[in-house]
Amino acid sequence: MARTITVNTKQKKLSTAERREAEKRAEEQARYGVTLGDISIGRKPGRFYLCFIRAILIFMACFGMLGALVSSFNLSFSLPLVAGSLFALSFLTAFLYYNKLTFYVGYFLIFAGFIFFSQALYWYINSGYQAFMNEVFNAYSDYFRLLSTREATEFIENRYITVSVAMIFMGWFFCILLNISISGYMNMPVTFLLTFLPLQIAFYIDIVPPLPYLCLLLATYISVTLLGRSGHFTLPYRQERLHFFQRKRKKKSHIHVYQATSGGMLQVSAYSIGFSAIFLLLTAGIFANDLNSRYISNTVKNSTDRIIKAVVQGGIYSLFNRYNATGGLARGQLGGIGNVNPDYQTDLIVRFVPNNSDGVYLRSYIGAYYEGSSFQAFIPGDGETPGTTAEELLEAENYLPRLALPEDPDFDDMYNNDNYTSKMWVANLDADPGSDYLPYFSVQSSTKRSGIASGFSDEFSRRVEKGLPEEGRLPLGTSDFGDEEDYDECYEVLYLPYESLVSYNPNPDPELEEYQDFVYEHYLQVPEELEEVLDDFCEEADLDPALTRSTKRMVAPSDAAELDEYKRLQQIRLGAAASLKRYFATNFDYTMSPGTTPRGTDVVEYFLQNQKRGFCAHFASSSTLILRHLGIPTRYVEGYAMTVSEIMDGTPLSNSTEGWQSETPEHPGSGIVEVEVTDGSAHAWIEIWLDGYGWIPYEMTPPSSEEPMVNLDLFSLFSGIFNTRPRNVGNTTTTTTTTTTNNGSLLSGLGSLSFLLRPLAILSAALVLFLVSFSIFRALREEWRLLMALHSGDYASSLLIRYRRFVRKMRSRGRLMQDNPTVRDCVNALLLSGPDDKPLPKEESDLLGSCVSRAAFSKEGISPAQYKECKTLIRKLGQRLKRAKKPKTKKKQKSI
Amino acid sequence: MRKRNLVYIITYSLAVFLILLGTVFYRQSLLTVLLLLLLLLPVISISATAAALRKLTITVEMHQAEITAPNELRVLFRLKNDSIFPLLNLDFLFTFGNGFFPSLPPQELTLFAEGRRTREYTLPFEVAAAGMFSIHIDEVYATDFLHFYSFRLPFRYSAELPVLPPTLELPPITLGKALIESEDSEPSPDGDLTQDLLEIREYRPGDRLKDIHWKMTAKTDELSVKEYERARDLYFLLLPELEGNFLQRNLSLFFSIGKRLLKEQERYRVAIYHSGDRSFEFLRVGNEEDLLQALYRLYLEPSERISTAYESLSEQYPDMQGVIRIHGGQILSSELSGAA
Repeated sequence: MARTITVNTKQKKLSTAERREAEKRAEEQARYGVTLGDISIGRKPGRFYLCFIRAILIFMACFGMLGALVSSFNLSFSLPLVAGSLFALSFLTAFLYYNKLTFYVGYFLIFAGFIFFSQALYWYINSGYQAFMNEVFNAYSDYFRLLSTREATEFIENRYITVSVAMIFMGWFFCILLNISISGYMNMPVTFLLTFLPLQIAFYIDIVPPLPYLCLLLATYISVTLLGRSGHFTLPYRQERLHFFQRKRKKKSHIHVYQATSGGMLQVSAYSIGFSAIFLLLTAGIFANDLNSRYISNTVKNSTDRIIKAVVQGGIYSLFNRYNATGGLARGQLGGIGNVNPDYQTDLIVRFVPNNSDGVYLRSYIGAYYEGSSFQAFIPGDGETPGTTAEELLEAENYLPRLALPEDPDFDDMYNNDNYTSKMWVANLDADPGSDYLPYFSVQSSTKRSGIASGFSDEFSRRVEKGLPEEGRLPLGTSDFGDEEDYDECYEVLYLPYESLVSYNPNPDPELEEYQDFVYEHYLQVPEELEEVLDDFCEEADLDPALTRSTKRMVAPSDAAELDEYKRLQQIRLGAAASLKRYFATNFDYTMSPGTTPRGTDVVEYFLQNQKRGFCAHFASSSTLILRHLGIPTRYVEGYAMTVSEIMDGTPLSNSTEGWQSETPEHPGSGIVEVEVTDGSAHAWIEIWLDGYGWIPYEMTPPSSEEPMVNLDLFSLFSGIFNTRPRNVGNTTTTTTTTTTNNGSLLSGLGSLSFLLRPLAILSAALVLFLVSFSIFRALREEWRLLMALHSGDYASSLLIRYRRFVRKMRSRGRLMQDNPTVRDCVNALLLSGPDDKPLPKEESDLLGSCVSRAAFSKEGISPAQYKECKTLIRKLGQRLKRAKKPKTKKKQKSI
Repeated sequence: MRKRNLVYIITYSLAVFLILLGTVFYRQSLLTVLLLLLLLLPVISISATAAALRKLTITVEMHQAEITAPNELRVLFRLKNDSIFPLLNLDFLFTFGNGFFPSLPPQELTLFAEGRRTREYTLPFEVAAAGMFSIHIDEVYATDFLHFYSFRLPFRYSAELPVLPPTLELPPITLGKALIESEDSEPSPDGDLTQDLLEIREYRPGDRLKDIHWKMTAKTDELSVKEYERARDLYFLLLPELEGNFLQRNLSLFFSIGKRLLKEQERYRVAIYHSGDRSFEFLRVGNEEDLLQALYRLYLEPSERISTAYESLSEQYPDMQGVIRIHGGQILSSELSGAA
């Protein structure tokens, strides 16, 4: 029995796409007498199976990646729990696309569940992550032969549970991402990046994950590649009501493509798994071979190694604030290092005779001028006065501290001199090669090499560096233990051993007065913008600048009264420094993981006002500016600090101190000791100026009150991006409090989500910015097209652009109700009420209608005169529309 | 090789090259293995497709013999894949259309054939107008999963199906006949004999001698007689004109009046105009099958400019008695009373 063909016979509400499709078919029927309807495959497309297969692919990718990663580092986890949970999550995420309801409700539920899960099991997740990172550090330490003792604190020790929970958490996160890349786009590159990049943690150090996990991953890659390339995988929820076959009408051909086949996808996935298994079994031998040993080293790999080390040690955000730093020291650059993670490799080898009960500072860098979170080694000019270079600054203190040198000094003279003089031999292994590391008070300290060479024999100058031609080499000094040639860079230093404030008698040297003026002129510099901050801090710390800001400057007191006055003044100054140190010790925390300083914020300001925790560089830099603010010339210093215990742990080389010390050592029985200075000893401190005496080192960093805890908070991985404060950086008290809070009320639980506010605000702002930019872009694009059409003499297109713009305005003003108004609709609307409730004259509406119709459908187009006429009319109508009031809320008429 | 394959190959090569660079610089053994896989994958993809094609059977069927417009015409594609590998990209390039209308753009249909399965696809063509529906599958390609290579399959298919015009409800009409006088014919109750041979049959007593088919008789040794149409049977001549705007209407009218005449047990002739030599061919219609044959001839040779030839026809039928002309969406004839 013949059926009557009518499009949309059922009185159902059609979507826009369906309505358009019906219209096009009707057009085709009228024009060609026949059209092709919905191609049928004999049954309904298996949406369920399509989603299910995607769920399997997501699961394979997610479980394969996490399983491979965790297993690579020999961490055990609950296989049924993790696999079951990840499969359920994959299933949920894949079925988001099942229909509109599952999409909108499902996404909300998944995100809400994700937040709830991360909050409820925060400490399990964090501990699991920290357990993983500890294993990663161990593996990397072994691989790179690092003596790392870096270890994150695992608050919950049961790794079996914590790792499993952390895997589920990460799996949740990755399922959402993989669902987009697999279900939405079947995009192999993105899937590969999401799953393979994390695995590089293992692959990079030649750890091969268990083959079953690799098989899952490989099968996913193959399936996604084949399905993605074949182009038949999509079943987005938006096209739920459209047919299984998608139709594209092009000018040259009509294309009918099926969207997806569950059977085909299943077969492809199954064969991919089989193929992956066979492939991996066949190629397993390649993994077993150490290919690396056969390759020649290359700079790309080596530099990547360095970056990898930095990332492993400093976290992801260390990539955003990178500069050369050794042990956290960075030539006065501050705030960019979020974590100090020493590798405890030997940077320097130092040989000397221990001669007091203090540690020994080895100074390498002096920061004089503070600007933009950085202490610079030079003082810039201000336009009127020239600046002072770093060399000039060092030269200015050539003679300091005072050492009663003979007129024609050589070592023997010094050795026999009354001054207590010592010699130190330093070899630079891995420290910053641009600096010397000199003890207090080096004879040649702060001098240029050539300068001191004039007073001493060459033996005491800087030693040779390997690589120089033989004739250019200088002989080694008297310290020779026969191994100097083994070091690329080594040198000897004569110095006056410094013991904390044993004596600071003024030195009657007229030259000192001149330098003292220089010091007061340059070493009280504080940026103007920090004055208020420092004022506030001094008030808070009960430090009175009036006490310390004295105009009296002494070099050589002439009598006892002046000497007393001098001593009193120095006591006040040192007292202020001591008060500050105490204040820091009481109110600030020492940590090696303070986090980075937000961009655009001054490090000292942030440290004093917000952060209130940090490592040596934070305390030293802040102290320098505070003491300068108090009127005490101070400067920032970096270098290495050998503690007494480190010195005592040193290797004795000889019991004889001959040639190394000017007189009998203080501690009988001591001899020459070799100390390996690691980057753990890298340090920053300050130097305070004492009138008539010189610079003395002063320690401002409070002792650490806790075990050094590495910041490995999972959530703080991203803190460098959003500059939020890491959650568990600080002392254990803080973390305990947080734990308690988490178990508390809902409100407090919500309060703990505050760390999300900033990222959310940034994302919202970005979204708004994007929308605004997009609107502007669209407007500009339209304007550009208009210009181009006019330029090319295409008046028809120009008129249509103006017309469309006008119609949009009409619709937005409620003057046109139709969704897709035709020219006739528009003209009728204008005839009825016009843009401002005044009907448009028939001639004008006819003109508009005829010109637009001709522009749209006629091959001849329109003439420039017609274009101008219509343009004027549209402009006039637009102005009328603008003046008119928007009609009161009218119910939108349903188009029939 | 098709153009788009080339793009994929270039993209793929670039990806392999980049990974190769990574392998060299980063000394990653796993990347080396991946590279090996990337090189193998195209070979496997093409091989699997080739293997599947060897066991692929394509059948295209059109079940209906005839349909009446407007209606749905179904064409069945059956893909039987006996191999274990699925074929995800089988591209059929075909054309279809109605002979009375301009051609549709070429169609490209992508189907799949899962391994070890037979899959059927039904293409429903919604035919809105009468005419000769035709479908031609010109080329079939099978592309491998990675779109590296397209196999061209030796498969062709062509089919035509006449789509009948809808039958119209004609107004009550009365058929009247005027007697045609002819000197050569004898009066007969059945009407006068014409020159149109109806059939050759065995001799029956009473047959005229001059009607004996001597040649046939000599061949078969049996008396054969030529039987001619009688003028009364072929009194009506349908003259359909299939001009532009009224084409579908005229077809419907022709079909309706044709059926009506048969219902009235009238035999008649249909004039088919050959525009090439400007001649008429007369088809005799004695039953429904003849009518359909005449209709199909019209589909194949639509008598568009018949009006110009109409005058020459009027010479043959000076009084135009018995001529039913279908023109301008109307039935024009002096023999019909109450004609539309």
